[in-house]
Amino acid sequence: MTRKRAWRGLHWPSLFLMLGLCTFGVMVIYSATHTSEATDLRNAAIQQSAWVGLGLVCFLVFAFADYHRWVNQGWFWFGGGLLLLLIVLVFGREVNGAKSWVRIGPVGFQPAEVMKLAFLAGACALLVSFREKMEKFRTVLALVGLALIPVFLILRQPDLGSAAVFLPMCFGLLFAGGTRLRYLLIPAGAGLAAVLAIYLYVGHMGKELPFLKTYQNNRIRTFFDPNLDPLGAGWTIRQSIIAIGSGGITGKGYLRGDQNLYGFLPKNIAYNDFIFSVLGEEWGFLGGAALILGEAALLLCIAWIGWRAPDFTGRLLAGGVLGMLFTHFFINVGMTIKVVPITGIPLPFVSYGGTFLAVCMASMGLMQSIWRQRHLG
Amino acid sequence: MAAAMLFVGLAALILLQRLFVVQVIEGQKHAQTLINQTTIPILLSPPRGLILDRNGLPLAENRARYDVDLYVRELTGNYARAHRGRLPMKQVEVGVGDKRRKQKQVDIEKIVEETSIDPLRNLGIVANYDVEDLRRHAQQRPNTPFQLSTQIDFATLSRMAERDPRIPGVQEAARPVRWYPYGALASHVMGFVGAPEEQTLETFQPEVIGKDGVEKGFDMDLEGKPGGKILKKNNLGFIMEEQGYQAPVPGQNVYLTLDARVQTIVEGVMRRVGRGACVVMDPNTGDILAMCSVPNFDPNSFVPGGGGKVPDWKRLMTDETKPMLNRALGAYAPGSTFKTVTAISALENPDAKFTPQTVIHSPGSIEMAGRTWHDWNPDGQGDIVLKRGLAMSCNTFFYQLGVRTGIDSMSAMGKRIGFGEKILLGPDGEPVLSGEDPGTMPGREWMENRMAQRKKAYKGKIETWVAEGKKTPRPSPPAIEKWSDGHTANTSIGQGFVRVTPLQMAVMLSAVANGGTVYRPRLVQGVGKTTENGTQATKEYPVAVKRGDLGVRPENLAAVREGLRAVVTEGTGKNAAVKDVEVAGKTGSAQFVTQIGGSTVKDTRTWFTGFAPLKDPKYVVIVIVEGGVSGGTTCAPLASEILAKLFEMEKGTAPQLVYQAPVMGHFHGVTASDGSYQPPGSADDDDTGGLSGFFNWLDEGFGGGRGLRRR
Repeated sequence: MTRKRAWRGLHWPSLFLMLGLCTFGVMVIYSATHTSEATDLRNAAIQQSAWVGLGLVCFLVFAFADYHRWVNQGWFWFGGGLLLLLIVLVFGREVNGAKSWVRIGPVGFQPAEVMKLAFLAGACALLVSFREKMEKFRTVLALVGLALIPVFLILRQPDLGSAAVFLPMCFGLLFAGGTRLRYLLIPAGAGLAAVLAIYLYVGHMGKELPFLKTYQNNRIRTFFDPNLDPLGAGWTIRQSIIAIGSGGITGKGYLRGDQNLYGFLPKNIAYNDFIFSVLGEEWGFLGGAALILGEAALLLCIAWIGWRAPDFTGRLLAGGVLGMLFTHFFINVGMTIKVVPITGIPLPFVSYGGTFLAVCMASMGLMQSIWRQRHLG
Repeated sequence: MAAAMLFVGLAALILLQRLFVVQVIEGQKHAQTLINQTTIPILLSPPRGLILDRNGLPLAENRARYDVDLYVRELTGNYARAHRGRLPMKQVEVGVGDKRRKQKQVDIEKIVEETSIDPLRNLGIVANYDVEDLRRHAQQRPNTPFQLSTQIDFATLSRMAERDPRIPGVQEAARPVRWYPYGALASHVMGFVGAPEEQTLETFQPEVIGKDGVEKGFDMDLEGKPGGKILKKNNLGFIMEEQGYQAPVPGQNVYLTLDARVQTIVEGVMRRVGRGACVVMDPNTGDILAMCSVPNFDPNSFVPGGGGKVPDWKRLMTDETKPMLNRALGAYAPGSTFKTVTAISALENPDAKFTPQTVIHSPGSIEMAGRTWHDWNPDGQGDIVLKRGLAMSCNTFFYQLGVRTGIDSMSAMGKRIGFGEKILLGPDGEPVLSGEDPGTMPGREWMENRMAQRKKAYKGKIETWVAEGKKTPRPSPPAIEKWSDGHTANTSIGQGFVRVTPLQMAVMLSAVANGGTVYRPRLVQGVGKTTENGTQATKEYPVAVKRGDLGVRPENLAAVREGLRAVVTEGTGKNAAVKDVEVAGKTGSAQFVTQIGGSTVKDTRTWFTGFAPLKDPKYVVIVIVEGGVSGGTTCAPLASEILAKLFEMEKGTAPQLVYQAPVMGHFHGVTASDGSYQPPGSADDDDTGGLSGFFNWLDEGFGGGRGLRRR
């Protein structure tokens, strides 16, 4: 394959969507942080630009390598990921009450994010070896069992949001692998029932779930009624809705979001988990809808690539990446407009955060790799 | 994979739908919430308009006061955020009487204690607020600033501005406060200002409103329009920027006809008297140059946070000398001063067949209308004409003259002058000052109305008596009373039912002095605002408005003036004489019995009503003293001194205008009475003396008057 053909084989729509989202992200991050008093925050947009560069390197590495390699080495990556999670539990730096950062020299990163990609490789390796038994329920059990290892470690940090992503990833993997639909639909139905039960138990009757911490119970409660505690736990969701709602149809204009400028949207989360609130306030419904459509279009590209994948491995990878990115996208946007409870996970390509950005771009690199080989199958 | 794509599309639609609801459908609501939480609207009080005398001298103005203000909402909001949404609470009893109940309220005192007191003390500022006030303010007016510390000096203010303590919701402020540079001068005309009753929560309320006098009557003009500031605050409650500013529109000025110099002269003389009043009028225009009532009060002491002594409200309200009552507008029996009115009525009525040359036999006593009528002089005056009758204030002369003239003629004259009605009115017919007593001008018609009212009251009494089962003795019917010559005779010497105010007397005497024109009295020249191009009038009260004419031929009126001149040269008012000035006037006294401190006493009301000079009169001076000896001995010397000083002032020796301490009242001159004596002045059973005006004032000051206040 000549170099020229290599470029021509790329899936350009998804590449442009990805770059567009990244650019948009850097702009909104600047808006969210430029008036901040802390230097770290003020430099966030520049940092993010650097990480977009780093992400591009990851993207290219994965795009121009054969994706089978990652799956073949799957167990190695999975093990490495777990090792990082153990290291973070022992040596990790505590930020905002969670030990999620590992620092090697000047570079810090979040192993939980890396684990998402490592798990993908491991899970694919597992499913490839179970390829003939996809119809069997123990395949499902095996995959979920595999997922529970990192989930357990991440919950120890604790980081509920990141841990929660692994289940939908399994979902995507199993679906792409062609498992029986009932294996997917029954847990999905059970999940819905659980949400309903939690609403009645915690939100409506005011009781506490014994296996969750009090603040987690409160989060659930304030999700159902943010006015319960407008200055405390309900503060963020309330301020997020006010920010987005006050943006109206056309928004207040770039760098003009009062809610963000005056600090009602907490500064330390406005540029990562609540980036969509800043975006919604400044760019209005038009900007918000554009972002949703952009992210959705990118997800559709992934699904399309998966559909056109030359083999089982490619389909699996696409399913897993789709599950991961979709979950991030839906929960992140959803929590800012009160569709789902607040869960601290970032918006792919847009939120501030180097590790996750690199992981997302690497995933897109994987997709490119699949696309490039679509005719070989 | 098609299913996955469908799934993604569906999820995107859910988010889009929700986003649409939040931003497009509910957008306005959230935008409003955002405005509410990021902006602080601050109302800026306009400076109150000035009240100036006829020479442009401010009698009521504003001075700057520096305060430390507290914005309750900002402070509590910030405190809540700093304490994870928890605010200290406190059980408080609210309501009155049966509606008393316990209520849980935010313990604002504690929050202020914790956040603000120490930083302020470090700046040398002592918070001198009332805890009870703070609590009430926090409940009722959280949007308006509360004055945590008032009257900090300028140095402290600068220090605070320099070393900003950065307590959200606490900031320094300069605000205008009412100031009366001459203290108690013309206090009854000025009135006073006070804090409004706190009845509305969100709308603007001025810091002070007029509660009496011109301050109350012209409150709408003086108040001005509030301005506003919109401040942007951040999540910690700190002010980030000023978003909008609208300057307050200062209140308009009220220009009085009073002359501060004349007022000072009058008050300087009258302050020697325990209770009394004086009106000085320009007889050629009806302008009131001075209006004085003693005892009086210092309006500065009523200004909320004005730095005056806290007014002794209870004393002012319960003091039996009634310092808050404007006696110049109170109704009194006129006594002999009314003989002037009898004289002009007789001269006006051709049927009386009376001229200044008509001789009337006036012995020590006469038989008339079935009883004997005495003169104060047992020998009488003999055969005398009008001039001698006035000079010696001969009762038997005026009894006969009054009966000869007839009550109808006298009532008609009273109506021309304005007796029996409020006369201090604006162009719109509204009273300029509250508390003016109309007085009483009796007559046949008046008597019929009085009887009709009594019969109606009797009918009501009977109905109640019947309804209650006739258990008590049947109420007695009112005595049938018809107007008689006896009533006329009594009226003609100013006794019996007739009641006039010093202001009405001033109008009457002005007409006599100026040749017969009855002017409407004027206290306010107009209302105007100060602009770059000087003063611009917005409301003008025209000068010298004719009410009517006495209808007396000029030569006859000249004869009356001669008679009044004779009072001072040879009669009862010699003490009113002034060197080199021809003073004319009439003395009078009316005996009056009243209750003071639970005992019945004689409290003689003494008058001098005069004008000067005789030719081309310039000043009409009416002096009344309660508890005096007689008009000639008590009031004439006061009038003399006032007039002397007025003419000295014209020559250039004006009095020094200084801060006036309030005049304390007393009851000197009041003599004990055993109650058996029924002087003519107290024969009327519904007489309340001059007090009805005071009760009016009470009603309007504390009752419905406030509720009806237009906005």
